[in-house]
Amino acid sequence: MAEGRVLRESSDRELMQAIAQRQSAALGEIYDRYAAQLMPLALRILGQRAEAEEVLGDVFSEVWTLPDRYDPARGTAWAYLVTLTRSRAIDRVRSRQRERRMQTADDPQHALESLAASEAGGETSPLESALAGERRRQVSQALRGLTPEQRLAIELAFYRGLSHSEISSELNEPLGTVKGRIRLGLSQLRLTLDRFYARSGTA
Amino acid sequence: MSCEVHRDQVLLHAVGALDRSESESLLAHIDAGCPACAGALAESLALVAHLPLALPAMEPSPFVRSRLMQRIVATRPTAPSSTAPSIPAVVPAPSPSRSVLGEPTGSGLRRWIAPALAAGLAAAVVHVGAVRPALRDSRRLELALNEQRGEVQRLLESQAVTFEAQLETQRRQIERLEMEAGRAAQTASLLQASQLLMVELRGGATQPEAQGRILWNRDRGIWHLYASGLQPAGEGRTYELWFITAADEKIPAGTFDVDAEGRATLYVEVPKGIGTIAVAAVTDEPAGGVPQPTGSVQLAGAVPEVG
Repeated sequence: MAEGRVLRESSDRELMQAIAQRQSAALGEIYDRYAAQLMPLALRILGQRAEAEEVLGDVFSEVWTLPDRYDPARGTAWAYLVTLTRSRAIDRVRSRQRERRMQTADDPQHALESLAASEAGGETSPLESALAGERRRQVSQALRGLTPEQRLAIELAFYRGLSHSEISSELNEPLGTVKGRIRLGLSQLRLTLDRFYARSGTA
Repeated sequence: MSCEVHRDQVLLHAVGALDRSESESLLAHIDAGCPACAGALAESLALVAHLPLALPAMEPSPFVRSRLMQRIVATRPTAPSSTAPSIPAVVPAPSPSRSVLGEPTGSGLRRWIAPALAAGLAAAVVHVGAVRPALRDSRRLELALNEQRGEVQRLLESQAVTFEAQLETQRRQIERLEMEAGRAAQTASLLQASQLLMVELRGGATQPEAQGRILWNRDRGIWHLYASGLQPAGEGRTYELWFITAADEKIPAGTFDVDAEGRATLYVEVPKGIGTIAVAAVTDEPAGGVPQPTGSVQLAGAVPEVG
């Protein structure tokens, strides 16, 4: 198929423009590129496969119905999709909590356990390509380079949607300490990743 | 608040750790026009977007994709002419095998991260270059510069496209508001009508929580249906309203769909000469509607007798 070939060779930015021009095949292509990597993100936040899949469908419909929400000046398409998936999934967790408050999964101990469990989990999709597998190993390795406290603070913010003040009261630590850990941890992550990319850039 | 304070907040915002008010203040600062903070934000978001890459990839069920494609084709507002796609193929893919992140292999990894980490990369290039022959060093810098130049140009072009798209969106919004204003005026005049009759509708067996109300303006021969608590009609389905006469004749009144909150409104003219209407009913039918009801009754109510 000529069209499929052309789309597959297009950059993310071109695909997002094509989506704004109402080319539905471009949405299909963006979905094929990223759905399998957004799925575990939604699942990690929501804990339920069916809900994660619903969020995924909503995210891509939103990409289609509100194409001008994506502003290429504000970052890559992938970063946009991650932001959108994360906030839709967290919104859903919050409305679920409002609906049946005082139930399940809201205590810090549970969060820590599930964090540990998901970090230990290493099952890999057979469809995962060598490149994506390599990237996953790099990012996981970079994350292991952080202190457990830094990692915990970052993950409580990113996967559970807690603000620094919420994290500080949940962990019973001073606010400044929490902010410092997040900043230091992310800066460390950036350094490690820069080193990886510099290396693969010269290869 | 000073720019420095905001810059300090960017990483925390990107990972979602700011309180709502702090995030809003940062975004307002960027929207007011601070390219430095905007750049820092793009870079931080790209960095944070690495976090989910540590999770093992997982394919969603195939129906997620098929449902999505059906949904968007159905809601497509302005279909483009069905000519060849206008997407230029700028990246020669050596082997278009798709990775989980889907970029063509080879250049993908670098290009994918390029906008965000360009600064970091450039720094790394300089650093590495210090221990390499000067010639390679300068060629490398030149390449990096060219890449950035191209990036800036693409940015400018894409911003022009964004502005056009925003204009178009606003135009459509105005149209929608005008239409809503027209509807509101219709409703207001309906409520003032002297010969106003009300028909209460109750949910059928399949969705007992649904309810509805028809305001019948007898002067002007118009039914205005308001319904709530309805499930979405589903793929390829729609709701259809019926005038059912005393002689048990079923006359199609119109089709409608529900919004995200399960609400719907419908505005229909009552045909003249159909005799006494005894019942109003809503059934679930194939998209586009049918001349005679085939689906189950979702809402129904008796029409009060007119003296």
